[in-house]
Amino acid sequence: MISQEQNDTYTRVGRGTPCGELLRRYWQPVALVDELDGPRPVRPVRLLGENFVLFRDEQGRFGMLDRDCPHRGADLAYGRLEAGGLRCPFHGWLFDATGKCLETPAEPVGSKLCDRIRQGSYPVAVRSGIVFAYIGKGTPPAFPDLDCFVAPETHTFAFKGLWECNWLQSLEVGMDPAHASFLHRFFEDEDPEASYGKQFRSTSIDSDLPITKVLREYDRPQISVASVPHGLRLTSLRPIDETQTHVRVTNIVFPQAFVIPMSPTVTITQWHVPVDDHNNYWFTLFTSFTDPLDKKTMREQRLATYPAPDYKPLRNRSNNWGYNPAEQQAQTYLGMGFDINVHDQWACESQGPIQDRTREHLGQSDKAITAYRRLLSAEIEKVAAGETPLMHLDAAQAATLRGPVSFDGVDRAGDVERYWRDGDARRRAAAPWGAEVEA
Amino acid sequence: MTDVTFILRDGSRRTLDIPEGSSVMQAAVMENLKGIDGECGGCLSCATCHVYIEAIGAGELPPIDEEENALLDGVAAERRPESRLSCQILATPGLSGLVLRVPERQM
Ligand code: FES
Ligand code: FES
Ligand SMILES: [Fe+2]
Repeated sequence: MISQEQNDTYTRVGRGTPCGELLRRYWQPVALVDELDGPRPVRPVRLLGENFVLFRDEQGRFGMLDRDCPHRGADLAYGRLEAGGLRCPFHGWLFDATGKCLETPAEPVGSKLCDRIRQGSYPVAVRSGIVFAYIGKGTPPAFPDLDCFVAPETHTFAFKGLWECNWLQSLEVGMDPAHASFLHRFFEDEDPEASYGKQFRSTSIDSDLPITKVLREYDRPQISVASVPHGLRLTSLRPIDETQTHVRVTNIVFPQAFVIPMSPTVTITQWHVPVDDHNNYWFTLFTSFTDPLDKKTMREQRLATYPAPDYKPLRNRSNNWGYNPAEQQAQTYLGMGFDINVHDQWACESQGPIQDRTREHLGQSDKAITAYRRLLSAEIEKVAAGETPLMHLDAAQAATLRGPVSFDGVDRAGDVERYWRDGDARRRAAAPWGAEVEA
Repeated sequence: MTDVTFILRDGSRRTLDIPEGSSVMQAAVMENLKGIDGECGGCLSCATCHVYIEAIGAGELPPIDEEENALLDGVAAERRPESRLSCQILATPGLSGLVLRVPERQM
């Protein structure tokens, strides 16, 4: 339980707010590269309560500009992509990818107005199929050498989706290992072989137990949380019998991403990016340690329920997320189908646009959430004091980060840490793209 | 922050505390101070942010460059030796105490 004031500090992210200023010190995912591949590569972007237009010019350069035209405020997201930039359809002012004004065609010949106009523009970087932008002060941080950024294009796949609630409650689902035993419970296990590209459908490493069965039958995980250079590492143990312990290692990469195993060979890195105080996009990067990913299948699976261009899920509050009491009785714990993502979406959207944390009651199983909030408070204070927050990395620091380890397996030797470290090292050694071990 | 006082057309005075780096024109327009227009938003193309310098505090004003000089020839009210375009005066702590008179018209 926290005060209203504290809840506001964590959840309000507009320009000038304490948390908003913290989040502005990081690269933020703003679009999938897929979205700018079509015949007209121009997309509106709303990030942290501010409006931008992202585009790719004729030379293929990305630019992200303020969305309102500096002339009289018309919407540049409806602009004409031509003549080396983006042209406002109202009076023809033309801007290049850096925000420089190239033409003000209605002004008298010899007018200098154009030279003095500069549209706000922001650094953009592409990594693993995601366009990132930096809208904060000073220089952007370096990207760390994490698996999801160093794996080749063939071994990563990116997708996104809109959740209609505050970013923090969405991220908090990703540091809550206990919920998976309930929210995602299926009363019968599917054939793990028929589960390509889906979460919690395969078996754990070193076992023939479907993850769905482990989660269903062992529902009191022992959770521990460690501070690590990238944020937090969570270890959840589920003792199966005297000799076997199911272990799941997951991470928070500060400030806004979690890294979890999807299957023995694929990890998920997922950011929760505030659109504004009441909406966020999840951006997920799948990283394979073995075979190239079948991106076409993975994209089609997801576009069927998160249609472009807005990636807003077909199941949402307006249709009760497809809730079916008969299904809840007979097949699933929640009654909203078999897509894990919808379960998590319901959980956080049902908490309301901003969860009222003055009314919550946290338990032992929520200890990663409290650890994260302490970390968030400390880093918000650092930024307010003019210091550099955690994970705002320079190039040298960025090159030292690896991994992080995310693992789901069954230990039989009674030394879980050794077990997941060895297992992770083996998987990395076998990866075709030379994944290095986290220190 | 910089205190800048404006003498308005009716003779009354109003003092604004202007954040560093903001122009005098910008601050005046944002505070809805009547008599300073700033149509072009500070792009040196409208000459509707004309002011007369009445008194300078401690610091010094930036010099008038060629373009400001050319545009000052086109101000709507009389151009005088103490004429400036207020979009070209950025607030600095040293300028505190600056007093400006709003001209009788901007267009
Ligand atoms: S509003 Fe964009 S050119 Fe006029
Ligand atoms: S505001 Fe236009 S010239 Fe000063
Ligand atoms: Fe979940």
